[in-house]
Amino acid sequence: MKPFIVVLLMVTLLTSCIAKTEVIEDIYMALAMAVDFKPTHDDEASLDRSRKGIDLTLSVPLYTADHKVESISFKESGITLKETISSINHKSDQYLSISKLGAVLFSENVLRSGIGEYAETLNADPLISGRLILAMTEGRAEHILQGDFRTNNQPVGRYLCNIVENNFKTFDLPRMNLHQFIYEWKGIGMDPVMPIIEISEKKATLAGIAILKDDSYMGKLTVEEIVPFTWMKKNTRNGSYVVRLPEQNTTIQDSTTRVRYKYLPNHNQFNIYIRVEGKLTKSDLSKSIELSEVRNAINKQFTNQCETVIAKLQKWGTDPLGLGNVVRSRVRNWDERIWKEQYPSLNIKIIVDSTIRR
Amino acid sequence: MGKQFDELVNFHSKSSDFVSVAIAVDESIFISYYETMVDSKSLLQDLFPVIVRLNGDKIEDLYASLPFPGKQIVTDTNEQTQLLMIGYILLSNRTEEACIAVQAVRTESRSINAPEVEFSVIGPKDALIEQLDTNIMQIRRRLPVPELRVTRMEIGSLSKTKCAVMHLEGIANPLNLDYMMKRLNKIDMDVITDSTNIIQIIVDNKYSLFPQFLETERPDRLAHVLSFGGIAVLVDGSSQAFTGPVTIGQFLVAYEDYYLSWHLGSFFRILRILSILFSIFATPVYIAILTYHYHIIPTLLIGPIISSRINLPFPPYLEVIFMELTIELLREAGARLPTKIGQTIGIVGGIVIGTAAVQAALTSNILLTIVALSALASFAVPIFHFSNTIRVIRYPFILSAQMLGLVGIVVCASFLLVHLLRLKSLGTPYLQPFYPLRFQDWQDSVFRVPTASFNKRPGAFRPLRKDRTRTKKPDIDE
Amino acid sequence: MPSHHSIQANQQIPSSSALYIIFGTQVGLDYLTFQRKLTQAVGQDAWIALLITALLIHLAIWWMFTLLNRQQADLATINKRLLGTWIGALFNTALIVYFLLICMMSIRLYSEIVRIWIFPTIHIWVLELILLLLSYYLVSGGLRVIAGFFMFSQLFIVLNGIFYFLRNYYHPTNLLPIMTHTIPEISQAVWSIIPSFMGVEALLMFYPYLNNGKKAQRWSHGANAITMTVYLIILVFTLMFFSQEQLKDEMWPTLTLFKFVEFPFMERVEFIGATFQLSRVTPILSLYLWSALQTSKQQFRFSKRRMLPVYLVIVFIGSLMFHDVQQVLKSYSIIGQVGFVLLFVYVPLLIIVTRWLPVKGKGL
Repeated sequence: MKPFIVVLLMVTLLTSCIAKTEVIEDIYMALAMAVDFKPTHDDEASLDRSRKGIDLTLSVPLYTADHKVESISFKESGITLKETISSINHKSDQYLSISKLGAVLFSENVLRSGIGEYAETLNADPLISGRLILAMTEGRAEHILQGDFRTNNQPVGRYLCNIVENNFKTFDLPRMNLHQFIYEWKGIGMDPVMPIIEISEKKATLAGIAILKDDSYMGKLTVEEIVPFTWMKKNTRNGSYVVRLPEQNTTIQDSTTRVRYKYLPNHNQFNIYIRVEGKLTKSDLSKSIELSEVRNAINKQFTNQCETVIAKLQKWGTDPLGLGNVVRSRVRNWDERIWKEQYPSLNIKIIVDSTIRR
Repeated sequence: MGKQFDELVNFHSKSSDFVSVAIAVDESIFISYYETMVDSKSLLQDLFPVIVRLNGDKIEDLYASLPFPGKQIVTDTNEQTQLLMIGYILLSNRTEEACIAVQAVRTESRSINAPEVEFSVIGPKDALIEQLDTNIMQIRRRLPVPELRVTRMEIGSLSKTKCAVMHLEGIANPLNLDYMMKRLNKIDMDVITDSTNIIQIIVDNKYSLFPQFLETERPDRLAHVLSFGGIAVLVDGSSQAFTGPVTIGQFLVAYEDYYLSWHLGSFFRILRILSILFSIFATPVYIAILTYHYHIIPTLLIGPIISSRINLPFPPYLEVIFMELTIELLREAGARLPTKIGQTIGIVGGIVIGTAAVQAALTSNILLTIVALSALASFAVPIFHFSNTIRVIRYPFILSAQMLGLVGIVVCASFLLVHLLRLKSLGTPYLQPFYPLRFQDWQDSVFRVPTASFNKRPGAFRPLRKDRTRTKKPDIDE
Repeated sequence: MPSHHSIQANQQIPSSSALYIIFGTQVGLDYLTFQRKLTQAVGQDAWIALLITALLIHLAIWWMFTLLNRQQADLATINKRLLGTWIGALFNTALIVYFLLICMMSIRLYSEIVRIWIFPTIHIWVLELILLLLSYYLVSGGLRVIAGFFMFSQLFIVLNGIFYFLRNYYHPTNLLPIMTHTIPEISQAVWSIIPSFMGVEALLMFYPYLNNGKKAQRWSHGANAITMTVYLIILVFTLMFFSQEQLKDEMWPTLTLFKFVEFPFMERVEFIGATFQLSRVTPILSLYLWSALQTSKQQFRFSKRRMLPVYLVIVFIGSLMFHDVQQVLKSYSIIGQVGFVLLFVYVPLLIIVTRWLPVKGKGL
């Protein structure tokens, strides 16, 4: 019996060569993907999405033996994402795999018409990472992938991810990736956001945050509004913030923020308490400043900024801060429908309390 | 001269090193011996002068007047032949069948040297040699108690190899001894030249790659195992003795561990376990990841890996097999050649072939590093046979990694685990102390506790007495 | 209590092995999928249902041991003893079918996991054949070897500890508010989670091989408690990681959690996570095969060695009959509920019956 088993085992193992080998250097690994509408449809944003064609661009790194890398891109048009991805292989001399994707860029028009379907397709593929970064760009997304960046010997896809990740890390931004998108899109009382990437001076930059309602684009928050948005959404560490005083500007460093929410259903009021602790940047000028002056300036300036952001969000009727979710976790028998009706008229109050050290 | 003895002499005379001459004054005494087997110095200096001056016709008279210790009267022809063969001198007169056998065995052998296979930097520098009595002496000197029993036996219908089974009475489990004696008694083979021959005959599972007895050349290790209740078998003509029952934990023990402080000993043992795992799994995982699971590699690492492989014509598994075989070849060639040349081959081969293979795009330098490291790791195993096992066992893993990637590796590892679970040494589960789980035995397998705290014998030997100390440690407030 | 049966000492397994065998069969592959059906019913109150189910199973373990300690035999022998040759044979055949069905489902489920998560193009039958060969080798080593494999494979549950590294992704507010669901909803959830706690019924077959039945009871309760703890930890992680609506579309929440763990030398830990499930499914497969063999041995005196290839072929063919993974999961719940009936209806009935019947088997 024993030799029989060994023979049988070897036979099955040999036949199982059918499991498709994907040797690392014999495939193309797309690191970034751009989704645009076909140029002819680009201006007709209201057109029925299902009849619109999409242009798909994949950025693939080509490594050479002398440890250099260049990026090439593959382009294909189609109707659905899945179909386009599989037909892009017609143009490729090696198997083109998308399971290492790090970033997907959508043009503003695509985002405006809703990306739920694309996100669902990407999320349903277990071989695609959930940390995939979804981002928006105002022009055509493919231009970013074809951009000529002075990267540090990095493929474009990786470079774009690094730009976003560096911003996340430095400013302690809320996470924005595929999982988080699905989480906030499907979750009740929340709406997703995503970073906006633009090219400026041969560099990719974070140009703001796109605010979505369900899965479609409503409007953007500018770079200046990112910090207030973040501080209202989550606790942060190691941030920095510019304070405008009457005579000069100064910066708060190593700031730690805490955010607390309080919902007062009887007054239809929602209080957001933000506590800021930070250190004044050392400079000759800052020595003369009174700390209490800075504190008051911060409180006022920050409250104003937050209120601007909140006003925008309420106007668009989206809830990327997840205030609805906060209420859901505190109130029994919470109804999302009623909340959505109330939200635009909700009285949201920002209370900032700052402690500044030298 | 008796008739039978005459026949005996005639029978042996067909060998040219057999000598049978009449000496003494009246040529009344015949002396017969194999000149290659007897010690000529004692023959000339001690024996001849006495024999020449002998007188008396009767064998008994002769016997009485011989002033030697190892003498006996032998009448049986078969016994006479046997004694001749092992270096006795036979004295006979013309009339009687009986003759006197005088021991004059040539006792030349090499002196006791430092262990070579199980080398240690510190600790005793003596190893077993090819002579049984000397070996027994070395062990008895370490365990000078009457409870250390030696059972002698002869194995091999042609080689008549002398074996000695040793155990400590009152500690060793009689079941184990019984097992061992039964297996040894059942051996039916013509020539036994080394202890490994015996091991291969008496193992529990002949198909297994894993050594099921612990071979050692260190008398201190033997004494140690005996004191735990193990059974040791020494074989004449073999500088390696073996002990049983054995568990996988014992193969991780280099005897030097006991001479180092326990922290170091434990560290080296854990290092050895890791090196075994690395040695088995490193190259298969490389194949699996590069052939199927490139997702696992961080994006930053993909660049260097692809760049180093971009011009290679082979898929990863051929590359790995090629490099693994090269290393095995270097090792094998180095082992067969004389020491000095062997070293040269190793260095030259390693450097030249390695560099050339990378430049000729036969392999990538990342793989070269991994293969070299895993070969190095396999040499960290202290027991030679086990280290060979580890080296060979990689190949099924490499093949299954090529077939099914990580799943293949886990399938292969599961087969290995089942095999190890089924394996027994002298009826003792091989995977002790991991399964059956005996946490107490971990103190001398996975790591090593301080010698003073190591006061219980390992359960794997099923010793009759567990305590190594005579007095118990006092409890709190005692 | 000394055991009254004729199992040789070197074939027995230590009573502590009940701990890892029962834990292993209970958790099985269920811990990859159980969160979904649980949260569908009761959302963030899932942990309450989990606790209730664990208590129920504790109860079942208690009366299983009452029966087994009294009878000192496995379920097949008890059936034969109490119900006579013919009805006993009927029940034991049903038992064999039950065991083999579990084999088919678990092997198919693992193959599907490999196909979905690792090799989208692999042929299911190849993988199943390899697994069955492995379990042939395992089962022919006897229960002692199966128990050993259980012990080693349970170590991989520690792998779930890496979920700690996802702490930035967790939203603790997802667990609130507590107790918003009604009792019918919770009992619905209990009913749906029962299959994930099944596996304790294997005890009914291997009980005589334990060297001390009485002690094994404590270990079995311990195993159930550990199962509950592991489920609870994974459930809490899952609830904090996913929003509930997201979880409803998530078929493999635990593996998705694995997907997010990242190390400097390694991304995508789910490949490791999915692969190592093989070492969890193999002993389960083997234990149930062994149970089927033991039943046919006790009832029909069939040689285990002869029957093993037959059962392997049955399992192989049977497991290829499923259409897709959804069907496997659905049947898995159904068979789990059959197990519930076995534990909560049949075993208590037997206890009541044996209360008044003299024990024939003592000193067997």
